[in-house]
Amino acid sequence: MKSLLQRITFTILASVCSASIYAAEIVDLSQYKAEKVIYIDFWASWCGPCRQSFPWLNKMHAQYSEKGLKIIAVNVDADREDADQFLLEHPANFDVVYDPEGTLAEKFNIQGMPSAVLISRSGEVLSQHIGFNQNRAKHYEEAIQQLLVKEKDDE
Amino acid sequence: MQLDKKTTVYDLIALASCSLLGVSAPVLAADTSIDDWKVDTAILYYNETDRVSAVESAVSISKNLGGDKILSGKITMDSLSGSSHNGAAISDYEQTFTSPSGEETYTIAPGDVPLDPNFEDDRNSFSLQMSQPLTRVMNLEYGAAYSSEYDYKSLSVNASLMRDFNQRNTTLSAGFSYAQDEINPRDGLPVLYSLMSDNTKSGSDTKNTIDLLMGVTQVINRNTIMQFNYGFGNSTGYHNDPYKIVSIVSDATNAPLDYLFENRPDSRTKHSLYWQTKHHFDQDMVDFSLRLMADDWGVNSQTLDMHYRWNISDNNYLEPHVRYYTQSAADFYEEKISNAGLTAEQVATQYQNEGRDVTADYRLGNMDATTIGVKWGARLFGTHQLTSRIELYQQSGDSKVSDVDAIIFQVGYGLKF
Amino acid sequence: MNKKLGVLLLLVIPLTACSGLGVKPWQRDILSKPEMTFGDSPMDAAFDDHIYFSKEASSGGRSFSGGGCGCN
Repeated sequence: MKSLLQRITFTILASVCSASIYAAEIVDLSQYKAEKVIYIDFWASWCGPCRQSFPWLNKMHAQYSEKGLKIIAVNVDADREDADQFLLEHPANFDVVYDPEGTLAEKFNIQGMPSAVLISRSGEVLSQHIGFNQNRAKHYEEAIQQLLVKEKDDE
Repeated sequence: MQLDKKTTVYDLIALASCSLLGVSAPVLAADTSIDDWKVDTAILYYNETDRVSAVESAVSISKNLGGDKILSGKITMDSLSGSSHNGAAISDYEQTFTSPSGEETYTIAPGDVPLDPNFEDDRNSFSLQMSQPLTRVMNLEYGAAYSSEYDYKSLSVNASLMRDFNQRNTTLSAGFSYAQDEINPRDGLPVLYSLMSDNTKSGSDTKNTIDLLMGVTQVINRNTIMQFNYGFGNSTGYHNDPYKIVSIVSDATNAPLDYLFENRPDSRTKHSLYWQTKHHFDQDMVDFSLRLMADDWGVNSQTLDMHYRWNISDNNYLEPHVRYYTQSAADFYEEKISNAGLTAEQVATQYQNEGRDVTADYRLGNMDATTIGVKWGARLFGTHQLTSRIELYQQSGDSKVSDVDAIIFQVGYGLKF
Repeated sequence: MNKKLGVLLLLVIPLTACSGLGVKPWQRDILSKPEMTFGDSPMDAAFDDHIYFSKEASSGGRSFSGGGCGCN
């Protein structure tokens, strides 16, 4: 019986884009087990609020990556070019993976765009939220902080 | 490399084709490309051959107040002039009419469409609209508008509610609007069932209209979306066009005896069904709609509207457009009234005693109308939009009075910042 | 008119009752294009509505915005 983290790992592999021109690298989420709180963000080039969420994600990455936050942005664009164009306009300092078939989005049962999934250090999906609102940014940040602090205390 | 669903997750560990992208240099500057403001402006020129021409201009500004709350305002200014059909029928005889003010006359040659050359009007309107989310899946919109022209003023309010279902694949919408109009010509309204020769005019009147609209917007598939609306409208009050007359023609000589000011019912109930589809191909898009309307005046109409958007490039498009419209005449529409041996005054009295409605306004008669046009649009510098369209609009009906040819030309500019 | 109404309603109702229609939230790339939303050229629509309302006996019927990326 595989742990959730291992399941997620394999799922990310399964959602890979078809082009083999990209450098081969395995995304193994189990490397983060017991170490990192994972924030998975589902985004697309055509998603308006994603333009606002990216700067905020960069900010979170800058502030909390050393404290144990790992941000993984999953792109669901059907065309890789659209995602690349978006990243040119809104650069990301965090990791970006590609899910053009939507396999990963399906696995997480995404209900709307953009969607964020917060995963604890022990591999549990703790919360999911739909949408990104500048007014709610503080609220999202607090959720991350709480998780980082709590998990640290647990150790 | 293809991955099919049968591949087990364990097999996939051997397949290393996932790409991880990381940006080398961290981004320091904050990216605040939020489009708060939206400004749209357009100017339209409308010209009917030998009849009415108009210039209309509009400016619309909207601001995102945060939290997807959007406030928008719009100002429209129209200027109309030219000749307009006064309701009388074409005659083999020369006809002389009194202008609405009663101070001037104009003469129409035999066989010509009776057009009043003194038509002139300016209209200004202003509207304010607010849109705000109530919950993540529910949106409320409300607003008010005021419009004023030489002899007609209108004040209206509207509100609508929209709710998403099925992961936003289905949206149910319901809206209403209420308008209060005042008809107040400078020289007053013609007395009911009076004749043009009487020239008795006084007073003003009002009309109230309520409109209800209910709709479903449904995503069909990845590149197709449809909307279905049912509309109900009810208006009560003064519906007459205070300037329109109906010819009373002699049975014996076919000469016009006098002209009766039209009279329409004081209430009108309309039902409409509307269906619109938008379908996107690889590059281009087609948008077509059908509207069916019926009312208790006996007017039934069908409208078919089609746009084909030819996306020449990411920033350029050409959109041909065609519209077919057909309507059946109102029950009380008459091209002219036969006197049946009576004098004009007697005919007027008869109509008054019967409380009979009559209009010769060709816009309530049998009519077919076709519009054909093309629109060009371009996006410049990312956030600027330039559009231009030219259309030909043609109407025809039971007689030459309904033959109208118009050209429509519009230029528009929009900006987001 | 009533016959036409009936036929149209018969076509419409089953279509909307079928919640099997639609796409996943991450498949709204084409639907999010402005031309695929309802009410995407309000200036044109307002001018047209005014012209046709002044020159014909029918008015309105279409008024709701809708479609789009479905974000937030």
